[in-house]
Amino acid sequence: MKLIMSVILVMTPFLSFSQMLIQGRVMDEQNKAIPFAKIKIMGENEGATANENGEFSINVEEEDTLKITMSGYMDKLIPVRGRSDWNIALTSSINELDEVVVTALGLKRNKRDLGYAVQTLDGKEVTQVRHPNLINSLAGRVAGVQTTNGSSGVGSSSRIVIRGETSLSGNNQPLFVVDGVPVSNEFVANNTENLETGFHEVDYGNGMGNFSSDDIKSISVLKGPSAAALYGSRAAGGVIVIETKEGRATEGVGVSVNSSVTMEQIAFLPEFQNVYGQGSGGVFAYEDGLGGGTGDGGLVSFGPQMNGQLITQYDGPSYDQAGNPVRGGDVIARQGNPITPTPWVANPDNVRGFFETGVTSQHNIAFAGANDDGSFRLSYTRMDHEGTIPNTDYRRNNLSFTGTYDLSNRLSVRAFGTFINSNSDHRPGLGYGSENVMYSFLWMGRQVNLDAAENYWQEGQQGFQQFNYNTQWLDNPFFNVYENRNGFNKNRLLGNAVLSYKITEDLKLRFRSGVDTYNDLRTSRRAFSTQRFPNGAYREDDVSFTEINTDVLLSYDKEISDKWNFNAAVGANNFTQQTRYKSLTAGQLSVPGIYNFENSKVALEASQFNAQRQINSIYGLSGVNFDRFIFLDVTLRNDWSTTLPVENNSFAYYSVNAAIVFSEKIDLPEWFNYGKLRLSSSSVGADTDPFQLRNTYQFNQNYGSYPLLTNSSTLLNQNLRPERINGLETGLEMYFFDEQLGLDVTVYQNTAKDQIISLPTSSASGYSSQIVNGGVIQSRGIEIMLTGDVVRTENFTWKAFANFSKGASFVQELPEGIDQYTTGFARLYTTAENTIFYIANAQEGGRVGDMYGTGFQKTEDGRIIYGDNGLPLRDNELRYLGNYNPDFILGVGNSFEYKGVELNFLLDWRHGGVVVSRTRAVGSTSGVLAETLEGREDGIVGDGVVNVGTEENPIYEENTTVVSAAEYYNQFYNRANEESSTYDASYLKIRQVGISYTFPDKLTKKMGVQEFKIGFIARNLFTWTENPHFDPELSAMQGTSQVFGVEDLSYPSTRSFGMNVQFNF
Amino acid sequence: MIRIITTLIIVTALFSCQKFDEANINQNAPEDVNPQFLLSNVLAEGADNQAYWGWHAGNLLSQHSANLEFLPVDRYNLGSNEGLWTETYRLMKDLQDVKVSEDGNDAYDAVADILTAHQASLITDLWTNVPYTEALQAEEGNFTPVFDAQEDIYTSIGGILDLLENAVITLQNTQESVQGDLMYQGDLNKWIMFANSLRVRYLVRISDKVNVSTELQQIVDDGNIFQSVADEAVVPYLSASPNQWVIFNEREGRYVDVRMSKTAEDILTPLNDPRMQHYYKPTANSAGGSEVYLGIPNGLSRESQNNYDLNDVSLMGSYLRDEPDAVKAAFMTYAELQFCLAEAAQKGLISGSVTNYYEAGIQGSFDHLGLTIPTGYLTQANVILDGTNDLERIMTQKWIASFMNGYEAWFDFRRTGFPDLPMPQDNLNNDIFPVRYAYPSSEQAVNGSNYSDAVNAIGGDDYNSPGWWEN
Repeated sequence: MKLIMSVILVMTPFLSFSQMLIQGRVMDEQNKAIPFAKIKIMGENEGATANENGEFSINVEEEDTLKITMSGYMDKLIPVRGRSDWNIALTSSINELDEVVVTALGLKRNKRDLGYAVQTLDGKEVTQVRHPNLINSLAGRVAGVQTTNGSSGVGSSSRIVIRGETSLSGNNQPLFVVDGVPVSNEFVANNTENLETGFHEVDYGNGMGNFSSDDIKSISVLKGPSAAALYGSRAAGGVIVIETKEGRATEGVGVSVNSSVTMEQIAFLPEFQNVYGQGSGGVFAYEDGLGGGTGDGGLVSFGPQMNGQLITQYDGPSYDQAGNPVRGGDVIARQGNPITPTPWVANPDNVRGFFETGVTSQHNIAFAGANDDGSFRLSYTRMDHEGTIPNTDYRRNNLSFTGTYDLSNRLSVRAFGTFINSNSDHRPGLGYGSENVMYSFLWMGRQVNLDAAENYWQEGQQGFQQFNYNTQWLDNPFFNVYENRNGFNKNRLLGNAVLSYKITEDLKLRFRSGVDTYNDLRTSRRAFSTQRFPNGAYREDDVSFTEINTDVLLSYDKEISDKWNFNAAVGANNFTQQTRYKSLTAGQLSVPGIYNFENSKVALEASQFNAQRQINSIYGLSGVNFDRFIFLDVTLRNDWSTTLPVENNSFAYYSVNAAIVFSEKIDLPEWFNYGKLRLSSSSVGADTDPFQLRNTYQFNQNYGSYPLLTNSSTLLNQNLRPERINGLETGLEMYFFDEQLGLDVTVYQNTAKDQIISLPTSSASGYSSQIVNGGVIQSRGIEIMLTGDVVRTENFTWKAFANFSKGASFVQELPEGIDQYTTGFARLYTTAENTIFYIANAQEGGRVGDMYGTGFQKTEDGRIIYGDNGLPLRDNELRYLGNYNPDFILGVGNSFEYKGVELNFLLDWRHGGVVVSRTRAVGSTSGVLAETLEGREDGIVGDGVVNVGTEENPIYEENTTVVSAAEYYNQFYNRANEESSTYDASYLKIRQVGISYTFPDKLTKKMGVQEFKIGFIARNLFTWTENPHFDPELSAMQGTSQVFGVEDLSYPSTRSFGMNVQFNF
Repeated sequence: MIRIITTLIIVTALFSCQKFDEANINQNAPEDVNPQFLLSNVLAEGADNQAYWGWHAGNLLSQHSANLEFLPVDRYNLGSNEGLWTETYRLMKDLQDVKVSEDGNDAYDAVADILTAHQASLITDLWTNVPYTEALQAEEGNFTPVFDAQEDIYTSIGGILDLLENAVITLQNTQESVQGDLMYQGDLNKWIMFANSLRVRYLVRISDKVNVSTELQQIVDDGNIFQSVADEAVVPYLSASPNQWVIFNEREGRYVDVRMSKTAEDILTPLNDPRMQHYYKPTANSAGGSEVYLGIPNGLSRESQNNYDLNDVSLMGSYLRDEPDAVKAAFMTYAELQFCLAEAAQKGLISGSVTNYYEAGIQGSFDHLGLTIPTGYLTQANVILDGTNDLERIMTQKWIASFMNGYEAWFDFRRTGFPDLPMPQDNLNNDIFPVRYAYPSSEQAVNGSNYSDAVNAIGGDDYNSPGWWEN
């Protein structure tokens, strides 16, 4: 702090100082010279560069402060104070060895001391190419981390899984901790049921998507259960520890600005055919879009070839009773008057043209300052996003404050608070059905001129009847996005306060409390004539959430001798969480356009769910360190959770971690700079969700004045035990060649037992699932991180990193009496024929993420069996489709720096896994996809055989029956036939490219600016993958949960280009 | 300062320890309920299933209607209808809970048994062998129930017929009453009539396999069966949401996708039957002029449909689209009972006049719909029973009356082959009339070995393995 004060003093213009020449040498910790370090006088534009021997000289004033910078080392500030001869030792930072990382309970530890794997990103890395959702910043940058995005663009949910899926119940999300206090990353979906009627799923985003990257100082990823052993049950999937920025004393007035604007364009679209238009059997004529013409109620594109011939169309000219011109689709006004046929031509860009260029702007301004006693930082971030889907948007305002103050030399306080408002007028509907515009496109005739649909009310029917190319099944896409909105407004307050008291120099007491509370009001409007709501509808979903964490910690840290260091701490934590969910629906409205419950034509439908949980904990930890050679840590924790039965509600955790820095004691070759062996063993417990113990009846909608109640579909369990995950981990961390090359290899094994899962059962048993403890799932994997300073010269540096991870989770044991484990399913509406089952099979090395579905009847040598009618035969037998998890993930990053110009790029390669595509199934059935062009004129003879024998004694002959393309594709890509719509999900992405320029001080000084940086960024630049239709990285949403391995008419993912401006003054 | 911190800790600890034991009590829904609410639920949901599935599948399989696009049942791609499977077992679970409820009584038990018998017959007639004796035992730890043979489900102790017979005896002797009876408002006499009428239905159904004559005659002699449409087991839809008929507030496509069938046109037109005007709308091209009613053959591919101008194909009747409360969801109608008796009499299983039963059935059907029989209808050459095609005529009139009544007309067709339905041209079932749904694939996934046994027992999990009573 004194240093900072002196820096401030330096700037005081009233004082004058005398000039002097100083000489010096820049060295590393081993007293070896560091060549080409930069020496700069703070507040001045002058500086010098050390020579190859690390020596430098520079003219200064005696009260100047020098800043020594060198890539790979931490910056160092030196107040000159008249001294002329300097040996300056820099601490290396490239290998992060001496980096201080934040570990369990917010304890700061030297990374060197840790016996388990931690990977840390500093805030700079996160803000370099700011992702709107914080979670995406981690993609490709951290080994063992896999992210998946929701498909509705900025503001949708991003899921992160660390070290694969250990839990069968499907959550597997890590715990997020801000300044030592857990915060919510909940994904609370509206209560929708994935039905053919009612509201579609909408992704309102996950909790961490609310955070502003500009407020983040660092993100540490604690991967294994041992790292999590002190955080309790919710940390079973790992922990992501976030530190918020604090105020610092700076040379300038302490204001920083960071602004970026990016443009998003759709990066993927299904590959459409543009030869045949709507209709069947080569004929089509529009009359009313309801079957009144020829095939105009139908949806498929097996109609006439588009050669410019004249055919009546929905946008063709007609006239009303008064003779005024109207469009063909103005069916009500037209009253049967004829439509003038218009040229039947392809509109190859009708879908592409619907999408717009999205714009995302993010602006942050932060004020910071500090003095001897304290610091503050006040920061405001605003994000505005307009999506590629018209009328979709997302806005966010973050106002944050961090303050620290030393009340006395024993007592200090730190507080952080942030208020976040996020809102949107419209989030697009997801899932299968008419509220997803992709559904309207995959069932849209290829001749449709979509521009004509922009004026989406029928003539004279404003508010009552939409205008569309198909009136029977589809909503006009423009009508859909402009009238049928899913808005939300979420206010969130998140904060924590820490009070630290130094009882003695070695003994400290810390009291900390954090709160995370939000209210999210979601409004869904549906206009009259919506397919799913002919009389319109209005719905509100109100989500309230509050989580409070309070803890105390008494810690002791003592240097016993030169070589021995001992520390210990004991603490206690109380955690409470409250969720309130309420939904009201007016299923029909009286007056169009008025979205208010008073306008309801029918009784309101209500749904409500309130829950709370509480966990009390005590814990202790102790560490011993001998001579910076051996580090040993032991932790213990016990939890009492309200969600478990009283007799089983107490469960313990432990972890033992050891780090051996063998390079300290073993004589290694000179190029071998550092070596550490890590060993860790842990056992953590986990509770469950509230209300999993005793069954209740469910309310059904009344019949007249008769109330109805019925059984729930899940049998709960009063004898649940806590889950248990045992982790083993070992790692080797090494640095070579002047620490220019770093290698970190970790292997791990996590064994999860007694998992609390909802196990599907035969619904004939009275329940279609039961809550049980069961199964043993073992995850094993390897993570390799490679970091390197490839080139390090005076003007040019090239840094590179690679993160590789490979892992899988296997089913080792199943609950008694069960040979395979159906952990869940993804289906189309509620129809069982269109179901993908997630089945874990213990016998045959089943993995978590294995998917099963139905497919074709096949001969023993794998040929498809056709019926006499020339169409492939399906059967109902479930067969293995593939696993949705990748075999391995590789992230590679490079950054180059040359005289203030910095270029970085990040590649992400995900190899293996499959995805079942509904876009493929629907688009092939409907004949809009390019691959359905084959066989249009001459028909198709399916490749396979026909059984000319009996069922018992089959005799197979080559299939020779010709069928029409429409019939063939309709049956081959039947939505129930998952096998034919399965793609390899592997991809290679150029995830981001950034180029930035930091203006020389000479220029910026004149503007009164301390630092001025401008950058250009591109995200999601290219993707190489097998399928031509969609981005395999996106997840789908069905009912109230996200599902994996299924592409459910996903929206096109986007690539974005933008600009970033950052300055401090 | 230490004091302040200590105080803070103590306050927090006290605050947080409150209510620890109560936090996990679910306040959102009750653990125990009076059986009346469960009974109401089964009646409302069970009746809705009859009408809902009548529209979406039953009418198509019996060819009362034909589908253009999105109901694959019409091309004999039946699938497994897991939704109905699951829901039926849940309703049976509700009924089980009615019986075990401490607030119940033997009247509740009997009513629950009657409804259980109905649900059980539905499920076995749709899937053949199904879990029954070991069903609904999850709470006792049996999650993998064996599948019972259809014959046993109908005829064994505790089976459908046994439940119904005992329910009648119980209700005849009880002094107790039931609440929540939204169908009969607690009138137990009507429940006795319903139970006996169901017995008639199921006895006739198995009459090719079992000699049911004595039992049928006894029921008829006792006379505790539906006496008129006032007694029939129907639950009407209501004018207010959420009890409106589903198609009333559905998208246009769901309505116009279902059309009058060619079969219906061929059967109803020669009869000059006014029920045609009720069940269907005049074709678009004839509306307002000389109205005609035309159907489209079942199971046409999209291309085959090009041979038809949909403006010359009738939509379904106005009461099925434009009114929320005109549909009466039926468990069983008076008309159906009379046709069962007519069939039984015609086959000599019971005494009595075939014609009387037959005409009462036709009258009952018109009464059910609120229509008047035209003078001379019953004496038309193609209506009157003249001893030549009597069974076919009975079954044809029953078929007309069974419009929208679940899958009943399909069950009758499977059993008797009447009316003589044409094979849908573009069917995907190798020109075979299907006789069942496939088992839900979830049974394969979670009840594998019992599923395999059942598949072997019925001769394959396809649409063509006939059940016991039709074999």
